[in-house]
Amino acid sequence: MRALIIVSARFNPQELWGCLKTLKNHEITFDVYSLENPIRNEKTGDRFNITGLVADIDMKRLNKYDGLYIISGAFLETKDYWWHDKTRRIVEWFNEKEKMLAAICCATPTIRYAAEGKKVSYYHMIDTEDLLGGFYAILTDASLTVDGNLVTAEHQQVTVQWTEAGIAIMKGEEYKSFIKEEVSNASNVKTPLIRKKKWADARFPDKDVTKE
Amino acid sequence: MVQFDDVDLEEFEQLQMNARNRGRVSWPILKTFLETGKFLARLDRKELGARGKDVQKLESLLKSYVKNHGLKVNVIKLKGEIYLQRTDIDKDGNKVEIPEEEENPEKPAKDLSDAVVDEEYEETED
Repeated sequence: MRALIIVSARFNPQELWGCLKTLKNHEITFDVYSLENPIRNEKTGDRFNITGLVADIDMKRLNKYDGLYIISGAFLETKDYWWHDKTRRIVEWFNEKEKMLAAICCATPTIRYAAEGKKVSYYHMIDTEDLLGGFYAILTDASLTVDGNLVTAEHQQVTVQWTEAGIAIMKGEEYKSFIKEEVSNASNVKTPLIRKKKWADARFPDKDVTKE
Repeated sequence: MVQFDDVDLEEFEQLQMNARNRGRVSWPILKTFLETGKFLARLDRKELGARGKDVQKLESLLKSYVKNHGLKVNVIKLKGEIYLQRTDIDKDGNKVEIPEEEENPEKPAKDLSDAVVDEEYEETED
């Protein structure tokens, strides 16, 4: 079993190392790609050589992967993926093949193309709400959400559980979430649907989100 | 309507010179100390009036001036007094060769091996 990992060029160490360690513990191999090589730990500045650049990922050889993990980090570098065309095509490929797709924290909008009608956990910001809402994702307050092939987490503190949920989906097993009850976040301002629609129209004039 | 007055270039340059902040407190102290040619001296704070009352504030003021202007002076606070020590000469007044600071070279990038993942995971957990 093999996972494809796309990570922010300045990565969140808790998320990357937590994810890689968990995959390693489950004897799942992985390839790590980013928009830069080497990537940099956003806290210590240490650099690490990775498998390669996202631009070098061969779309014809995506078959060898059973799932995709998208890991966040420094906000600007994470945001790069929101509009990255190659990443979008990769996400769409994994979704078409109904393979596991996982994103965490600020990286959740990257998989919005696969999130229509699915529940997602996300890092609570107006931007992320707009992007996910624009694709008619069902926004939740839970820290971790598994819906179909989609595994999303709100923050780094659930990295291990998030990775394990992805592994369960890859193996075709049922993941029993530790979340019994969603806790409403008082600071979370829900984006009205009309704004989501407006936003989606403005960003994707050629895309009719209502028909997808 | 907005109006513009003519400016005398020399006068303007003088104004610029005056405006260049050399520090009303730090520079006179450090300049005078350097002019004495002493290797080590204790600062007599009586002359400084109110400025000299707060030793801690004065020390941080001098230290930041030394750091920002790259002066070869060590500012030391000891038992409520401030001592100034030159780092470019020794106690006999001979010049000391100060090696230029080496640029902090960036650590080489590590490969993502199993050992590195384990090590970094442990560090992050700590």
